[in-house]
Amino acid sequence: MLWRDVCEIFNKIEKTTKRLEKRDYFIKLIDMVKEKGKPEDLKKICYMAIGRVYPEYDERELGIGEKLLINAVTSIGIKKDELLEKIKETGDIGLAIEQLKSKIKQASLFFQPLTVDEVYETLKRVGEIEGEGSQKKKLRLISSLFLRASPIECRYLARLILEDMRIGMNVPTILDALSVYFNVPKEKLEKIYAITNDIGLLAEKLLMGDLESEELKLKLFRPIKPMLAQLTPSIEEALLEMGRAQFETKYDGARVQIHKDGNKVKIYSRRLEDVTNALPEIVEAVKNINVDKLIVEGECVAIDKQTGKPRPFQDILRRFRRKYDIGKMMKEINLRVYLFDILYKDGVSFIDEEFEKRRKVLEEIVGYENDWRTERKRIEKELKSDKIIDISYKLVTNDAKEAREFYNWSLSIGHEGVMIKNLKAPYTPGSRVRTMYKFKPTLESLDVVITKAKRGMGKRKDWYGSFEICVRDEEGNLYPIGHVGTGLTEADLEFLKEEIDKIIIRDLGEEVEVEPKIVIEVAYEEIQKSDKYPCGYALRFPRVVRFRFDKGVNEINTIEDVERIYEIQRGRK
Amino acid sequence: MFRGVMESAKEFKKVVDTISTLLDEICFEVDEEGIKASAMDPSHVALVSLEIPRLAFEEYEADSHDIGIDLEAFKKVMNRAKAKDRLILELDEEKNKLNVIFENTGKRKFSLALLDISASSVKVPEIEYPNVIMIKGDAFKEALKDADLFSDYVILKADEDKFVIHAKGDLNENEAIFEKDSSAIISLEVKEEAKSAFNLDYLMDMVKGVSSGDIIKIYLGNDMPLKLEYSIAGVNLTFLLAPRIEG
Repeated sequence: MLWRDVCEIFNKIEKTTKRLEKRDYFIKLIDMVKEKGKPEDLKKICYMAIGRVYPEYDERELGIGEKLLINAVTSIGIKKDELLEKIKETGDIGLAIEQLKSKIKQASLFFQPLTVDEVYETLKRVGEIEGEGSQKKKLRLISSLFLRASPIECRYLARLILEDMRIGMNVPTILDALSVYFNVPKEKLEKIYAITNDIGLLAEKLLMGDLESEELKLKLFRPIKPMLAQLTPSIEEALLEMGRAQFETKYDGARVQIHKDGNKVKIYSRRLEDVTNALPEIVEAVKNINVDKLIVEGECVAIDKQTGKPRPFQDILRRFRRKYDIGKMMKEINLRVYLFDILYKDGVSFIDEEFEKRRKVLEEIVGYENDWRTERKRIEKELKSDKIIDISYKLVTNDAKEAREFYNWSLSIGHEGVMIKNLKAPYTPGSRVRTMYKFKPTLESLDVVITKAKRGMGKRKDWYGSFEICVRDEEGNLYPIGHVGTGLTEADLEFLKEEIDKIIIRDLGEEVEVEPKIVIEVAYEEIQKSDKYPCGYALRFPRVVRFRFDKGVNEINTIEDVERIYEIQRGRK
Repeated sequence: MFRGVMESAKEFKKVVDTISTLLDEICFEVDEEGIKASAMDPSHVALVSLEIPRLAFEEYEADSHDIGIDLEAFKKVMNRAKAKDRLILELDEEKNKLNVIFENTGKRKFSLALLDISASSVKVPEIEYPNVIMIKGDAFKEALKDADLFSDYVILKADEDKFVIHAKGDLNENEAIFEKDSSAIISLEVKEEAKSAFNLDYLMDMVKGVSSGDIIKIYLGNDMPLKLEYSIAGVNLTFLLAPRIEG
């Protein structure tokens, strides 16, 4: 499979802005691999299309960077000042190298065209080189690719090396293409993808006709996408739908997925980042769980020892983002994980089992139930304890009044509300399901991304004073839904000034347009219908609740969420 | 089985140091007549070929084997060689390792895990070169060091009267001229005037193992790879370097 053929289709994908056309070109690529290549080629091409060399669940990066890339191409004849000028002119290193390819003066001893395999394996090799003389070795490996590449091949080589392909391909579009080409329902593929978190592997297995492969099933130390809850307008409505249900305290913390194999423990955040090193005391506690192989889910909460109440959510996130000085932070924060689900135990997957059974297995592991009705006194006594591993507080009932009491109690001990779970539901990775609800006292806050910042006035003249905030549609397009300026301290404004100045796309004078990278959570008084914004809605009196460092732009709320909350809001009046 | 004994481990260290500037791994093709190996450097700009005839060894015994060697590890081991150490190389077929033994007042043994790489399909091509220059190694090496002051590539020129090594930077330049009858030139056979440019970094790597007294044989032609040959303690090294295109 020649790299040239892949690049020609990447170019067509890049040139169109229409998602369906991108999908169709990718379908052509799949067909080409089927004709000319092998299943493994399709796997690699899927990673490359989204600017990766490693699967999505794998945190490793190539670590090549612009400087080394520039040094590699200047070592074979492109003049540095010409390259820098061209980069400035085009705004893209790939395009710059493509246009200067004719200036490469070094000949090669190898005259075969580049293959996908060679590109992929060479870059992986570069990523693994370390030690004495490693810079020179990396440089020579990188330059070997450019020596043999045609101009357009150089463009995509450079972007792949920087792990930013810029053709507008993403996992949902690839899933769409695979669904159409192989005639498999997209929902089925989405489910498998949620388990594997590896689009290349899924594509490879489809091409091999092996959708039942063990490799597509649950695997230790390959985190899976979490099942997500819907918001319900009322407890009564949820009970009407479910009948008897399990209520659990909804904790104000950070969701974690814990994998254990003997003495090896890894902990992943809701974004599936490896946060093991940030949580050493949790790791130690998990090692003591008397089960050999395990995948469980829980909420990690920072506890105030004086009150037994949760500390702000940000205290957990500070830990996740921390790579050093963990010991010092451990003294300041007491962490506890409330386990609430089990996915895997000693070779057995539980994701297709009913929740009622999964909960029983989890209770056996922990050693007690935390049934609110019968164990409330012990639970309340232990709020201030040093306990590190616990199990979520539960109430199984079909009585709305009793459920309301449990809800009020959960709020009184400082948590967010309740989860309402259908006892018969399997675990559905990566989906927002109607078998699991969350109920909170206020309208759900929204996760939005900042796309513009307006220069401040008066007291705020040294910072940006207000920010355009957007939600997204299913395709990932962004839609403004309001401006927010309240809820920010001076420290927040200072922080935003610094961060925004790093990601400015265009300076518009009174305001700046920025890359959609800063995700914030906002509360508001209500959602209004509005013709001021193309999405049709606006937030009334938005207020920043917190920064969501744990989320990327593809995790902000959707227009659909806004519509749903709007309907809930209308239902309350 | 494979076992070879060399008088000087230090001399063989030069071989390993030189080829490991260009290669990460290599496959020794061992047979009754000696050892052969060749590989292209990762950037595909240079080719390295090595031949150790059995005569280079004080003792030699071998069947046919492909021995894949991690040169990074081999280089580290060879760095431990002392001035008067003899070198013993032997294949441990049971453990699939190469034993590297330094023998002096005692024996110091290192075992290298072998790589599973097959013999290279890359060989030095049979090319007819119009020009062959034999030059004293240290003279050539010094000229390259001079060139390194001003440029990252060097222009080699040959006509029937002289061999020239020329470097040209943005502002400065340098030239080393070896007349046919200069003491540095052993022989100059020129059938066709030639001028080609080559990457200096690679050339410097290639001549790393050259000592004073050594002679380098240079094969040069227009638009042809450069071929370089010299020996270290009976080990014959051949290098190919793709030209740099001027325009």
